[in-house]
Amino acid sequence: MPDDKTLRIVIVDQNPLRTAILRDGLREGGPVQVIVVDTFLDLEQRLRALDADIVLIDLENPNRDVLEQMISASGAETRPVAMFADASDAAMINAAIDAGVSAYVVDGLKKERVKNIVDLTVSRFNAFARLREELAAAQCQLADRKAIDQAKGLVMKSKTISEEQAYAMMRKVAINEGKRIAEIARSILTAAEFLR
Amino acid sequence: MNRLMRISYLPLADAGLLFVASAKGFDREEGLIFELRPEASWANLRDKLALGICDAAHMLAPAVVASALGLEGFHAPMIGAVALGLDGNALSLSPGLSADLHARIDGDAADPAATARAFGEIVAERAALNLPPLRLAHVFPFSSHHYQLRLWLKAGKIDPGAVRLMVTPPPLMEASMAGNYIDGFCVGEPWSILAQQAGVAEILHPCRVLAQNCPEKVLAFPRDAALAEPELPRAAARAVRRAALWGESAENRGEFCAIVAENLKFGVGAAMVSRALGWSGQGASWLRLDAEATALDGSQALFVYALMAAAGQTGASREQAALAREAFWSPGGMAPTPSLPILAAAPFDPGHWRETLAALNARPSD
Repeated sequence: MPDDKTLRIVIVDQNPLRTAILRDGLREGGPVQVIVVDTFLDLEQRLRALDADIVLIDLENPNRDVLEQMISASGAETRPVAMFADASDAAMINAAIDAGVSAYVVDGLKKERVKNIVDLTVSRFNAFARLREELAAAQCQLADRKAIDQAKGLVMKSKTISEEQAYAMMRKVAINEGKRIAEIARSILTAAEFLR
Repeated sequence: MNRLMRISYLPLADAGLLFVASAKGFDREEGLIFELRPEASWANLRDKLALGICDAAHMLAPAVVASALGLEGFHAPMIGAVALGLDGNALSLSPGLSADLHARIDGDAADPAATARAFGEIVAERAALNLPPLRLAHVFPFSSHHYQLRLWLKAGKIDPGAVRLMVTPPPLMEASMAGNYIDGFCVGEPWSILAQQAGVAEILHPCRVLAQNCPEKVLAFPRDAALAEPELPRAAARAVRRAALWGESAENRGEFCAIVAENLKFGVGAAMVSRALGWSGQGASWLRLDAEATALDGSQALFVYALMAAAGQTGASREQAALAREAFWSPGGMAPTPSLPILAAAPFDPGHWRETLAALNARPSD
């Protein structure tokens, strides 16, 4: 049984950060050899040469269809590869697709071991997605604050009022129009640009 | 209240009727709102449809038949509710291989039997010299692209085992050709024209010369969902057909091509779409997106099944033939009878599918 040896896991993903997060996770989970393929071309030959036990591929990679071909054409010289298509795996497959990853596994691996690896992959993919969201939110916040400060400055100058008064005015307009202060600030900046 | 329908698709010219139906509001006129979502692979479309992440999908006609036969994915059967067009693929070779082949052609270069015989010579010579087999790419195991490559090889009496048939995703065809990872490919628009324009491939044949009116993509629904609410696939089918009817008016053609091109991106222009549809005056159409090309019925599924069995992907039995037939729903009432597929100048006769299969060299098992 291949379960007793170190598993060869191939990650097909072009995102270096996500790959690093996943690789660390897989290594913590047990004895595995992790190989990363970050190029798009000639995937079938590369994978055959790597002789993987498990292939993890992100769903944005069009090469998933190459793996489908490798499953359907498992001839004598090719290694049988099968995606777990068992009905009992439905929840696991659902979680994986939802997280944006798919796994292809050779026949004969112990189910629990595969499940552990897939669960870990799903959690790392989700962690990466959260990280990306947080980063995007932080960048958005920063941009909002910058726009609000700039608009406040413009209002202070054109109306010769204090910073607090300018902010209070913008806040009032935002509440009346049911918008965010940052949106009002951007409207002020656009209008100012226009009238300059 | 219009019903939201999440439709996933691959960015290809034959998703065009979905783009037009959405842009011109034919979805809303049928009580639906199409929410179109691009995807990266056929496997993604199949899985997301099976798991209910989308409601409908732009899908390879053979993949739908394969799902009905239990050959695909999680054994989640799909149905085709309307054809999204007919034909559209082309066979291209690397410039070097194309030149070699054209130098050997005995006969008409537009005749696939003549080009396939010349190709057979090259294949045999390479085998005699112990050179690796030539690599011909298609897009998915269950695809008309795969079967069309096989039809071409058969026209030249070439054993499919003498070449390497492999999958390369359409957006990677051009780079795979440039990197010398493949020697030829069969792909749908806009990829044939883009690769030719990039100078990495030459179009040898539109696949219409191998099998005319070939069912290509359909709008697929999970069978269970379609049976539970059959009015939804039927309404979507009507919206698609209305988009095609709208495109048939000469005054709408410019806008039709512009909508398709804009949704495809990749630097595709309206002129490129117009050329594939045969509207540009530069040669015949090789992609059909007219209203008649949206008609669907069981006879087309049976044709696809015969091609699938001929490729050795499944056996041939009466039970399977019946299952295949049920995978394609007729839009019911308003659509015309489908254009029958034509193989070797003879229209496909659904009553004699075994003869078609026998002619393609596969032995029925019962």
